[in-house]
Amino acid sequence: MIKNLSNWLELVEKTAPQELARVKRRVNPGQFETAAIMDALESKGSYKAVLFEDITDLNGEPASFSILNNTFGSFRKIGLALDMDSGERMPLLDRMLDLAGRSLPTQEISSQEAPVKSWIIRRDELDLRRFPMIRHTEMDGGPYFTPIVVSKNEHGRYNVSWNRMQYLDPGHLAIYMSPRHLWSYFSAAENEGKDLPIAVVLGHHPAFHLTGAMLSPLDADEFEAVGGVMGQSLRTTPSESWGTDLMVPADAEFILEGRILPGKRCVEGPFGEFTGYTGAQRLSWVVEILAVYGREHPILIDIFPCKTEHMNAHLPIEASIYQRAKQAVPGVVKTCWVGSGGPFNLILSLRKKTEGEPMRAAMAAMSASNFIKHVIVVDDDVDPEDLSQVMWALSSRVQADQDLTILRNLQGQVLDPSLRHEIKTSGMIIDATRPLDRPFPMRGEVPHSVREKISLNEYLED
Amino acid sequence: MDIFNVECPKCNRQYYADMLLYSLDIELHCPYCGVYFHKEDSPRIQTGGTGASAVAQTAGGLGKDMIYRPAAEDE
Repeated sequence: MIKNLSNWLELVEKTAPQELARVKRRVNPGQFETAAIMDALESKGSYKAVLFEDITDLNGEPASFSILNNTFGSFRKIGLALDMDSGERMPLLDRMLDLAGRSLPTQEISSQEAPVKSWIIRRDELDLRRFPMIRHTEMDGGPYFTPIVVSKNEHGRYNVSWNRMQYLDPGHLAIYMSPRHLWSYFSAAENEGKDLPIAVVLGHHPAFHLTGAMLSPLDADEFEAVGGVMGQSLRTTPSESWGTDLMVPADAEFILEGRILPGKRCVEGPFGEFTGYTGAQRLSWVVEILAVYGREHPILIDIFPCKTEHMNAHLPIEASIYQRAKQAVPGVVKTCWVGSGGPFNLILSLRKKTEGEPMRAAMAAMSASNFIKHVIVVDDDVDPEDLSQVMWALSSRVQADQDLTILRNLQGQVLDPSLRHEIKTSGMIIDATRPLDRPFPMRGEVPHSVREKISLNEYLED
Repeated sequence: MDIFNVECPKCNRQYYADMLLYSLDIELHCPYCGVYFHKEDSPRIQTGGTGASAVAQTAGGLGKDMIYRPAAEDE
């Protein structure tokens, strides 16, 4: 079976029906309605995926599309995207690391065979207002897409990345690029006065989207990496505008082809981001849309950027951070970044063998990703996912003048609202492990031999 | 990055933007009513930072009408 978004939804409905709901009543995503429903759901502690089956376009007219939110709202659904029947952090991270090391060559099919080309609209007939776009937070600079962007560099390497895109006018979108792979591809093209062709993918099997968050080396082809993560080769088909010079995913739901224009910038935002803040209006790049195509009644994956789903979608990055820390210090047991309560905080536990290991593990984690600026290191008797345990270790195992290290002039995350400089940040490492070089008190525990013999119902009524 | 608060001259709602946009001669875009405008046309702009005199700022930002122009010597 060829994997796509529809058969993943069928899998969720079959194996975890509580993880998916359908909304049949008409909603207007451009007027915050889908976002308001997702917000209300999250405030009740529910992270189920919601498929909005009757939505309107930017003109407020009925659109033959659906929107899917909270695809990554829970670890259980992320597990299902990776063919796992588990929603636990460490098995998920191990699975991601295993899959990230695999790759499969793409399989090319013709445009006639490609499901994503069931219908095509070209530039002369194009009006972006006929498509649904989403406003999430009050100050958003306009309606947005939260797509995966496909690009290719001069060496033929395909990149897939998550980028926000704002509606500008019927033929143009703004795109914001952090200084990573897509940005480097465009910068190289712009330096030669060239545009950069891209395909904006809105909806595919969730494994395709998760690959967009993986930290892969610049020489690894990410179309082939998608194949490894999906467990089958990614089917591709020639683009409408560039033919085989830019291949696009054939089993996607909906694709916009366009080019990032050299020598052009626009005012974009504000935009509610994964930090939980509305990021400021800023200078971004302009995309001219050349063609749009999709399946019949395509399903758009939308990420609510300020909410839990957006942080969860970063789990592949946490996998890389865990891997890097464990390579530096094999005693590293567990990490918790996603779900740590802060978008730039990492908590990691280790089985410490010598002094200095916490610092080494923390620095390795920091070097893996510019998302991390604070690291708290705890012993393996403390669960990094349990913040009350972490706070207990912090209060009882830390002397601030000895166990806290400030690092200066690190590359930061440009969306961090506390940054004064555009990208430079400071970092902090807190070693909340017990010292090995002097006696230290033990935890107060009831003798294990007595505790394990106790069965509460022999002593207490319900 | 430092930001500045700006009030839209059309709908009079406030939002904020990157200080880079403050230094450029370009139009800003109101996220609420969609109007494009130059910062010079904003009734209120509030900046801050190490180089700014934060103690002299007023709540909601300084407007042009709040700057006192001393009378000329011969008035």
